Amino acid sequence: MTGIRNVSTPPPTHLLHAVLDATAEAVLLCDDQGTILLANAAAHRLLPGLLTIREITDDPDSFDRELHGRPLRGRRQPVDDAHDVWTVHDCTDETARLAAIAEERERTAFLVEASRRLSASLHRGRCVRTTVELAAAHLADAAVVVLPPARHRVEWVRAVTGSRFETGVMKERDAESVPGLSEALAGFPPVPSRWLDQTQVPASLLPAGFGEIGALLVTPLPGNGVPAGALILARRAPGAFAESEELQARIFAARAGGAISAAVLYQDQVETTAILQADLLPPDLPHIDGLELAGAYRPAKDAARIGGDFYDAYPRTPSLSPSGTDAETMVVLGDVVGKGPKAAVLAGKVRQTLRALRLLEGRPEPLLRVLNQALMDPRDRTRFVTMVLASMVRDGDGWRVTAASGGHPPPLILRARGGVEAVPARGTLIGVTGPIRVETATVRLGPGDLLLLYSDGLFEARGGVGGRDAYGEDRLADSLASCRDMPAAAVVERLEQLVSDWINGAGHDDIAMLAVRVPPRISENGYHPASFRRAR
Amino acid sequence: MIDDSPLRIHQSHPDKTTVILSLSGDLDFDTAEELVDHAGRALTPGISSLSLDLSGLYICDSSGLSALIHISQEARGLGATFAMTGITAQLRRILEVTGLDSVLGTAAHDDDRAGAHS
Repeated sequence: MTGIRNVSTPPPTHLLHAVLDATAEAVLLCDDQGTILLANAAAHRLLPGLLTIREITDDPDSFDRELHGRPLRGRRQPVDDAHDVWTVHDCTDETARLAAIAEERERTAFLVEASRRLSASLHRGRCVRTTVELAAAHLADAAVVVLPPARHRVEWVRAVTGSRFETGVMKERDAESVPGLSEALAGFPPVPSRWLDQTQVPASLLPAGFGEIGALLVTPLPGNGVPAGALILARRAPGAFAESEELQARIFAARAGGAISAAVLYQDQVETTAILQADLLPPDLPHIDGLELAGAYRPAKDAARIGGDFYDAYPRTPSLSPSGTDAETMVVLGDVVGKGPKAAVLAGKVRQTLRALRLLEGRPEPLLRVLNQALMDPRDRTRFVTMVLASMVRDGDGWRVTAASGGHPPPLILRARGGVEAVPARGTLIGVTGPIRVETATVRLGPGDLLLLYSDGLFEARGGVGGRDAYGEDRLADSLASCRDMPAAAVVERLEQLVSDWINGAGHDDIAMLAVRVPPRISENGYHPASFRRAR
Repeated sequence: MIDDSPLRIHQSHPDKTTVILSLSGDLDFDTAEELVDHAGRALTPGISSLSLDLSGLYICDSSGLSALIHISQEARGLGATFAMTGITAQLRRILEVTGLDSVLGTAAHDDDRAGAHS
């Protein structure tokens, strides 16, 4: 590089003019009054007909103003006492770029805000409301979210800028008349705004006072495979949505759709779990004449581990056929292997099967054998249930109890005179092996005697001083012995309390108990019959 | 003392055709599948005997029992013998109550080590 060589003799005037005209900026030579003495080509283009710089600025040194729709920036450079050079720059491009950047920032900020608000909830209704509120506040004058049609009806949620959301339902036919909506609900890519005829929108889509729709945009809310719905944007100002606005609406719709479909999935799961759990909840025990019944169910702490403990009590049921025998009173308590929905489903199956079977076969032993056959699943021979069944028949002032165990800890009896005995019912767990061993035991419950069925969660509850010791069968028997003379409900409550103290807030398996007590003779210790009732 | 890790499985091969899995800790809902998987991998072709040493087990819940059933069925299905040793008094009680002692064949496999624990 040799650098710029300044010539000592100036080039001819026409060449100097050519140099000036070659610059993009307007260049003006003015006298000390501002009168323009010389202007280059750019100056003639930007400032046509200008005679003096004073016409466009009072400031002696600089100006920033718009002229003929162009943002201009002028700067004065003194040449000598009598002359100034003004350069005027056309800022149209920079201004547009800055505006674009600001707009982009605003859009990004909106999307960030939208994502934040949309992810704040796993409730479908709230996600949809948030979607219309955000869209009405930032993207259009009105926004409507239309949910996928169900039974020829279409649910919608809408909001007009500045007012609260509304919800409603319209006929599927009306929804189909909204331009582009059927396509959006079918998951097709959005039709460009300029192709949508906003005059075809049914009047019911927007509130009565909204007025004429100037522009319409319909975008799918993408879901998991199928759309979660569609977003309709309406603007009063005529003229289609710009491409950048359509793009922003699509990005927003993608996020909103994701949030809504996640909420739907979550809700489905919650509902499924709730249905399964509802089936496992302890039943309202029936009233059975001459017995006090009390149950307690304490599911494992971890909600995801809904367990498989259950109990039921069936009152004596008249035979379905005139020749048959009546189904005797029966109590049952069982424990299905594992936790979670799988265990819940199996527990539900066991309960339903049992409910039906007992009407045909009331004797505990054959009942367990049939149940075992019914539950055997050749594909999965590791699922099982352990249970205790007790059939009860009135016997004078007490009851004769025939108990059978399918691999379950033996029921305990608390005698009215004191002392706890185990009912010697033994057997194989249900659902694993073809022929099972069942040894039934028959015992008599006299007035004031109490029969306790319980799940192994009770004596396996870990706690105590070291926090790891099982409550144990012996401790359970001792605890039960301390419940003499108590009504069934109180016994269950006390045992629950004792185990609760033992585990002291630590995690535990499901714990289920069912206490069945023959009311004591009133004359014996002054019991009033009314006090039996609350044991239900 | 028992440490807090839920289940530890130690695998040994006294000879080419025999696998012994020694368990310690808790065999429950959280660890049952781990044992089933481990046993499944251990049952390679040529193994004719699978034995579980349960002397170190502290907890065995219903999921644990299910795992034992699963493994015994898998082993026998592959033509291998299945045995459990080191059955603690507590586990023996559970096996008796559930009637699994006859299903798993442990009644016949009563060995000295089980006796030593009771």
